[in-house]
Amino acid sequence: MRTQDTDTSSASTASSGETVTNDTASDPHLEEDPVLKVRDLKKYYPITGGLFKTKVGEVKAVDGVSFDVRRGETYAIVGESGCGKTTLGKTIARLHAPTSGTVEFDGTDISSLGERELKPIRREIQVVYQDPTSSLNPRKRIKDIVAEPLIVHDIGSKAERSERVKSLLKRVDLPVDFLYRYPNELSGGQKQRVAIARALTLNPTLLVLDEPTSALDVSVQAKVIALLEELQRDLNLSYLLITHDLSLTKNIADRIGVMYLGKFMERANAAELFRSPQNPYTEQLLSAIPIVEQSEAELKPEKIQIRGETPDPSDPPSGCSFHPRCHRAIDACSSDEPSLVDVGADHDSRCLLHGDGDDSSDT
Amino acid sequence: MGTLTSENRSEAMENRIESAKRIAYRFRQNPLSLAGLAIILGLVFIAVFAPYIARHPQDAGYMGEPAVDFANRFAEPSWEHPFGTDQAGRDILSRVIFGTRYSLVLGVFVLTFAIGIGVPVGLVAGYVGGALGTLLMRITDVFLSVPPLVLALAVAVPLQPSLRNAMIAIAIVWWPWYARLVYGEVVSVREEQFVEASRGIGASRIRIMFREILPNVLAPITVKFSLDMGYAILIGAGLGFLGLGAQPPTPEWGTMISEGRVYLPAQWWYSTFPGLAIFIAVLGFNLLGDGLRDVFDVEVK
Amino acid sequence: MSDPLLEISDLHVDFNTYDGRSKVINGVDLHVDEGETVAIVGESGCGKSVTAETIMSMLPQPPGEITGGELRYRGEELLGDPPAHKRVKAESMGMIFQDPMTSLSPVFTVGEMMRDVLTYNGKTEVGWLELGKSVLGRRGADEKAMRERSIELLDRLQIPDPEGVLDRYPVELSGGMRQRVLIAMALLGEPEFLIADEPTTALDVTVQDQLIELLREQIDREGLSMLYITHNLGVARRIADRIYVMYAGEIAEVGTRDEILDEPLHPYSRGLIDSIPKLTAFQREGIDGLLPDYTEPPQGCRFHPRCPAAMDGVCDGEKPPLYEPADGHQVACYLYDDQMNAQDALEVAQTEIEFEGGSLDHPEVSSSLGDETAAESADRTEMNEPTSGQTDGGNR
Repeated sequence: MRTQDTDTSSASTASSGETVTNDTASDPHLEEDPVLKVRDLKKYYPITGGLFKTKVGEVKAVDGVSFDVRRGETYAIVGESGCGKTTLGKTIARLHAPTSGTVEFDGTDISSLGERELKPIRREIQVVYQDPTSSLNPRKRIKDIVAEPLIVHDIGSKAERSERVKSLLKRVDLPVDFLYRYPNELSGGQKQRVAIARALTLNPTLLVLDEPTSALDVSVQAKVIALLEELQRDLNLSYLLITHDLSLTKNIADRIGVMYLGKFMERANAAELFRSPQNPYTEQLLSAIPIVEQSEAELKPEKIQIRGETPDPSDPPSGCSFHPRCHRAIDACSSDEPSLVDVGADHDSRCLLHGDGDDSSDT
Repeated sequence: MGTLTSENRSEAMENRIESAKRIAYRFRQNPLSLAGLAIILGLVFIAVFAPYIARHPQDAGYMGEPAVDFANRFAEPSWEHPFGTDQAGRDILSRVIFGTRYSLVLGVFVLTFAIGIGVPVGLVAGYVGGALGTLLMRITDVFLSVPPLVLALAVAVPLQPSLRNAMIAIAIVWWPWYARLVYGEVVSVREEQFVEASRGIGASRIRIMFREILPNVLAPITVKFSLDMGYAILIGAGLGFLGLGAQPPTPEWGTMISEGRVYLPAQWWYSTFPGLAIFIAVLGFNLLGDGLRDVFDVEVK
Repeated sequence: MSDPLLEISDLHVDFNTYDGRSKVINGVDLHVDEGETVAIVGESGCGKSVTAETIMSMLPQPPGEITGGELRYRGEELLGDPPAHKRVKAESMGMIFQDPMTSLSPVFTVGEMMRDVLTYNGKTEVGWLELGKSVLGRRGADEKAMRERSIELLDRLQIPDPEGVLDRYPVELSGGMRQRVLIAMALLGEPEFLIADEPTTALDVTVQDQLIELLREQIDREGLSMLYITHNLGVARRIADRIYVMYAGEIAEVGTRDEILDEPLHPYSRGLIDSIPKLTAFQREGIDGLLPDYTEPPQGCRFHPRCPAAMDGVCDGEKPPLYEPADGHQVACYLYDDQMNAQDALEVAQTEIEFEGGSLDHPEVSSSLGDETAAESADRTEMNEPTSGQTDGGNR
């Protein structure tokens, strides 16, 4: 993933001729020719109530999110529960229809496609879920689970499918004799490998990894992560990694977007984000990381006294949605809504303390 | 690779056998369900081999009309006629034995029909939802709001009284129960991530319903099938008793009780033994169903 | 050193299952001193929760069965004496559960539950009369005192608007607030010993951080002792004075927090710590294999089939004893012996334990990594070529 940097930069040099005409060229976050281009994406859920289930409000689960995923990179969306990161991932994978905004995959806007037109796109974007016990059908054998995408897309003969399934199992380091087993005969890590194999069946370009290791035991997590990294290198996959684990993103992500209540609070490349976090929310997240070894202590910010929990997303605070919990909040924070402001190369943050957002790159 | 695969297959077979043993172990934990299984197997055996078991198959209408032997009418239970004879001198034991056939066929037909209608309705209502789902479930609720026997009567009365029409009437009463059961299960399975994963692959709704969701709701359907066999037999006998089912001299249990009723209490054996047969059959299916419920660990009303 | 507050010695717990007898706890020794917080860390299925259940006499029996060992609280043996166990548990122990949603009743308000705890606290038997009295309503003075006490505790756990929270149902509270209520309830009975079973697992890091802080404050303030069960080594670092590393029903290693996390000796501890992505580095090796089948556990050291440093004929023989290279730092591994001091042991650990593919390279040193990766992927291509069915489109 980190090693992919050279590839990415060469790719962008190759297409640099277009840079002038590209209207996003001024914004370093919005790369030319990305594999995924998300613009002002919104996903609102109506809250219904009363006798006739009339709409009484809405939850802005994803509220105007823009970012790009470059080819072969790992873009991590980090945030706590209720921040909208899972909804974002599922909306991008078009498991949900967005309320507004665009999702461009390989230059095609897929945000408003119907199920029929989506089918070819489904081959390109696959999701790996958090809990393989739930994401694998307990009544199907491993071979049928991994072959399902081939059957659905009517690819190959029976023998070809079976060969493909075998090679996929090998690719994720599972023995071939798992073919005839059911998911409950496998351990958690093995099941997650099956889920990864299924996601790879159709040779996708982009994988949405929704907390791919947090349901697994620690000693198993490491190997699954190593496998994902290896697959990314070998198959030139792009990853959208959705996680709450900052230590993990530091080690495997190229760039990170920190989300809070449906919006990005800060976006930066991974090294930069950990070296100089600009947003108070990021600071709090970093300071709360439970470190294991003493040597890690110096790599995170000073201890910050943290207050409260993520508020109810259906009734977010006024102004900056983080202000009630913020250790740096000023009076203006409760009334003025900050926008994303450039705070460095390939780095922006949403906070009033950065000054007014005249040169805002917010999209 | 070929040999390797067959080895895998045999290992997989061993796994299957192992899990079958596990199920047998859990089933054995409850001796009553074993008793239920024994009763059902016994009934099936009797039904299949009725002509060989019954001493007077012709009395039950085997190979022709039921024979009559007025000289022997209302014989008390004896070695020759352990359950006695009826008003036409026919051996009641033989007739009860043949009655097993009618009851089992009725149960299987009714439930197959009920499952055939109810399961797809429940699947569609549960997975597709929306206006269609609401409509289907409201129709289901209308059926469910009337007591089953009353509804079966209402359907059976305008039809010609016969075993076939009784089966149709009961089947029409029965499917909503399966629709409701499947609907409830589907609504919970629908939220599982493998359903979403399948959608993410691009699978069609039909495929998701029948290939992903249906296999996960088979267990409660199986349990309900077993529990319902008893009730279906009971209601079939009820219709027969009321004269809306099989017509005399068909050796159907309910019909026989109805016929014997007028000779109570003097010729007590006429009604008692078919009644006992119903009792045993219903008990057997219920015990088996309870056992299956424990094995599959499902909740079925 | 004075007698420990709580001491478990040579505990054995079996479970009867279809597959046979599972030896789930196999000779666990553990103690918690007065005023000390001790963590048991291990992965799911290692027996840490069964240990906690045994201490709280909450082990489901059957299928569980305590087949040996002792549990002493202030010197009093409890396993053979259920009434005493019940009494000690009621008078001196408090428990904080993992999932507030299942351990708080949804049909009672927080205030009602706290009142019940105060009413029945410390009692092992409750008479019908008393039960009736409390159902019919309590005397005003008691009621008021209880309410005040509840509010005081909620306040101590920094729950905003404690009066209001008393009248709310658990579903109306956020996850962090529910967990605070649970801690408050555990503290209501003024226990001297707390058992916490993964109380922060389901929470966000920022909330977890606050809760651990709070818990620490309460412990320090009241001088409590605590046994904290967790799979999260980072949490263990924050909360514990000493850490027990548990694997497959046995104690692999015990020592102070820093000894275990910064200088682990047991190969399992080492593998576990290395498996965690850290801010400094991330060793991607993990530990091969799975937890053993408890009905037929491996001979000798239960970790040896997964251990990179396993020695044939040694580790698969007898169960390793606990060696003690430094005072209080014990490790159940044949790599060490009684003659070693802390320094020797550390050297052994550093030279002998190497997990597969274990490069100690700092992943941040990316200059050398480029070449290495190229070489690695070359290997991999070679390895996968013949079996790969994806002739086209494999690389987009």
